[in-house]
Parts: sequence; structure tokens; C-alpha cells
Amino acid sequence: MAHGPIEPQYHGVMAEFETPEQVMEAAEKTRSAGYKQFDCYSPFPIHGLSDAMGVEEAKVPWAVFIGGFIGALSGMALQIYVNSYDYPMNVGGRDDLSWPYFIPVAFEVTILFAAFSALLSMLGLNGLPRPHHPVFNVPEFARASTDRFFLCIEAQDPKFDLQGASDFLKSLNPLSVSPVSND
Amino acid sequence: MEQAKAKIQQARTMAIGAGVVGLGALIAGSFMVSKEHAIQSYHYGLIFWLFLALGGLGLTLLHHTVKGKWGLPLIRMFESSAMTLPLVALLFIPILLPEGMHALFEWTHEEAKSDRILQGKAYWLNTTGFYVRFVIYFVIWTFWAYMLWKWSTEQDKTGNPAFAQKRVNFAAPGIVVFMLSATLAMTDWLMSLQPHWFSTMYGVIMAVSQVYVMMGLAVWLILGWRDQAPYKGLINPSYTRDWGNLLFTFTVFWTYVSFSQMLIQYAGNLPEEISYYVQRNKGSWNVVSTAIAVLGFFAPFLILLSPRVKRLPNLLRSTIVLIFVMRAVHVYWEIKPVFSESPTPHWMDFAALVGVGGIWLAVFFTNLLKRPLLPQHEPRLQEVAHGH
Repeated sequence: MAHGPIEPQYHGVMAEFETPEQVMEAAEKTRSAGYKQFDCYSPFPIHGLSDAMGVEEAKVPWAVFIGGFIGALSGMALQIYVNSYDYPMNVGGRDDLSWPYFIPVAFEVTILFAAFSALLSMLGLNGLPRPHHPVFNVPEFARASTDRFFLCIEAQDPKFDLQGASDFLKSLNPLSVSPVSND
Repeated sequence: MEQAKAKIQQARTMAIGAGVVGLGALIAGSFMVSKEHAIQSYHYGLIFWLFLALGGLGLTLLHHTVKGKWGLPLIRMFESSAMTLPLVALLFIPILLPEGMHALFEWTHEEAKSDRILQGKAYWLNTTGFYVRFVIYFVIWTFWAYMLWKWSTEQDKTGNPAFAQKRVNFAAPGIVVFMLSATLAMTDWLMSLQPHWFSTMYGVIMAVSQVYVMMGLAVWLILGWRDQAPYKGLINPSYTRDWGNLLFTFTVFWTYVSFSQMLIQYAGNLPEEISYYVQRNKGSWNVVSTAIAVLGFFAPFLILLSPRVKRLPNLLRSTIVLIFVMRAVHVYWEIKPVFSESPTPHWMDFAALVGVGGIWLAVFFTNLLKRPLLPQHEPRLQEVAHGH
């Protein structure tokens, strides 16, 4: 992870909110204020939050599609090669290339490859596995998994400066605003 | 309420026109070409629109059982479609007449008496049983459609939420009754066109086709009226996404059961089973079979996979047009190889499709106009309409 050039010791500034509606509103305002590198933390998925944050189209579905497509092709190719070319066998007088028989296996391989690419691309794009993250340095953040909602503007944002971002977040009426240290 | 209803009235007038022209042409054809040919085309047209009526009943039962939010804007269409079933029963009369039965069903012929397999099946495939079952199916379906329609209407009028639970208790067992009766009805009216052949998967394939095509029609219509009150402001991407996903589900489910039937019969390779597929892959029928796989499965599958399509109403509507056409081709592919070596349709097939369709749509729209287009006193709809 590259650190911002201006405030190298900080990961960002974090605001704490009490309700999902508040964090949603805050996300919209943060986006309109011109911040791009920020993230929201919530104990449960909030419908519409990624739209409010302006998250661009997710990449995982494409990885899944490509993975599934490769799976379908390789499942089919393996069976055709094995059953029709490498060691053709006459089963009840059927064609060597009896493709209907190959569909269930190709289907399973599609699912397998799609599931693997879903998991691996999700981990890769999220930068996981990662045993520690700077947001855990904020004591209030412990409640992010129970009943509080957080928005963190990250230091990587080109518009970021510690004072400016803190003042901006305070204007959103949060419960608290804390700088997020990297150490 | 006025705007969309005015559109529906216009559409109804057009439907009546199409119905009269189509059926008129078909009647003329029965004298000019041949009665036998006309009744076969009529059977095709009627079965296709029967699919929409039964799909309406299936979706009505499904919605009242699970009460999903996705169904709220569409439920009046589903109920109106299910309430066309008495009309469909009336339209069946030409088929039930001895001439119609003879033109369609090989098992009514004199030669069937010397066919040992058909003799073995005669306890089911006989005209008396056929007529009795015909009455039973339509009584059952109309009963379920009417009770759910009635309790919805009463809730619209009185606002009493107790009717919702009444509908759940009635609709849930209705799904079981519907699947059993629809399976048997499809055995009678479609599978018995080729009486030596049989498949236990057939009823499911047809039931899925029915809800699939009706879902497509309802979504296509509502998206066409999305700028008219009372739909205006209601149709948001969360609905179109759900509808697109359901159409996707039906696409995959239909393919799954259709392919399973084919794989099992291909693997078994028994003469009386595989004849069905041999018949549908001979000559140019092979082209139709391939088109159904490519345009009936792969195309809608890949298009509906994309989240973008499910956000853009016009793109979703175009996809539904493809789905609708391919459903008509699929029904054609089920029926016509029995009567014809060549897949080229006769003009009477189109006349029947348009004629029966016009009449069916006119009654469907009439049912739709009888009540408010959206469920009244439905808190989950008001929540959406008021912009949450």
C-alpha cells in the first residue's frame, strides 16, 4: 500500500455515525465534496451505499464470467480430447463425440472455475489476506461490527490534508472524528 | 389511474381487431385450404396463449404464497391473465369436436385399436376420459383463479389485511394442485399428439415455459407503461433487477429440465423415447432445434447475465421480445413435427397465433381494466411510490 505523500504517518481520518441513513448521507456528501479515496464500514450490508459512495462497477463479476467461460471450454475440451481422440471407445454404438454426455461435466467445471475465480479475485482485489489494518487503531472502531457506522477518508486521496478532512467530517454531525494512525 | 388505463383501452381495441382478422382468416382457410390443417394451426395458436393463461395462474399462486415485493406491481396482470382461463376453455370447443380430435390425436383413430401400445394406454387415452379430465382441469384452475381474484378485490375495497393471509393459505396448496393438474393437462393436450412417446419431465418443462412467457409479457407491458400513472415513479431499478433475474432463472430452469429430458432419452436410446428427438432433428427441423438452443437459451442467458440490461428498461424490453418469439418457436417445435416434415410455417399458423392472441389479449385487458392497476392498501407499494 502506497502512503500519501503529505501525511505519511496517517492512514486517514475517520468519522463515527449512529445510523445507516447518516453514514449514507455522509458518503454522498463526501463524494460531492470531491473525495475519491474513502471507505465506509458497517456491521451489515446497507442497500444503496455503494451507489452513494460512487463505487464504480464491480470487477469481481467479470472475473467470475471469464473464469466460468474458461471452465466451460476446458471441461468440454478435456472430454472431447480424452473420449473422442486420445482413446475413443464404442459405447453402445454412439458417436465418439457424443456431446450431450459431456455437458454435465462441463457444467460442473464451469461452476468450479467460476467459484474459484470469485473467491480469488475477491481476495486479490481487496488486498486480502491482511492480518491488520490501520482502522483498528481507532478504539471506537471496535463497535463497527455491532452497532456503529464509520466513514474514513484516506490519506491517499489527492485532496487529503488532515485538518481539512477533519473539519469536513465534523461538518457532517458525526458522533466523533478521529485521525487514523498508521502505527 | 387514467393514463395507463387509457393505453390499455387502446391496446384492447387493437387486440380485438387483430383477433377478428386472425380468426376470420383462419375460418376462411378452413374452407379454402383444409379443415384438418386449419384445426392443427388453431391448436398451435390456442396452446401458445393457454401457456400465458396458465402462466398467469402459476405466477398468481407463486406471488400470493411468497408475497415477494417484486410481484406487487405485476400481480393484477397475473390475476387478470389467470381469469382468462374460462375463455380458453371456450376456445377449446373446436378441438373437442370429433373432427378436431381426429385431426389432432392419432389415438382417436380407428387404427389405434390394432396398436398394442396404444391399447395399453387406452385406459388414459380415450375420448370420454379426455372430456371428463378437460372439465376437471378447468374447474380446478378457474376455482383457484377466481378465489384469489375475489380476495384481492375485497382487500382493495375494504383494506382488511386479513385477506392476505387467506390468500396465502389458499395459494400454497394451490401450487401443488396446479403442478399436478398442469402436468396431466399437458399430457392430454400436447404429449398425446405423439402417443407412443412419453416423458415424465414434460409437465415441468411446460409449466416453466408457461410462467416464463407470462412473466415476460407482464414485464414488457409494465415497462411500456412506466411513464403513465399509476406506474409512473414506481418502476425503479430494484424492480427491473428482480424481474430480469426471474426471467434469467426461468431461462436457466427451462433449459435445465429440457436438457435433462434430452440427455436421459439420448442415453436410454429406446425406440419409443428417442423417436421424439429423431423427428425433431430430421432435415430442416434440425435448424429449428439449433435455433432454440442458441436463441432460446444462450442469447437470453448471456444478455440477462449483465446487470446493465436489468437497469435499462428498453434493453430489457428488447430481450423480452426475443424471449417471447422463442417461446412461440418452442411451442411450434413441440407440436408441428407431428404433422409436418418441414418446419416452414403455414400462413394459417400465424393467423391462429394472431387471432387467438387478439381475443385472449382483449379479455386479459378487460380483466385488467376492471380493478385498480395496483393493489390498494399495500404499505410496501406506498413506501416505494412516495420515494424512499
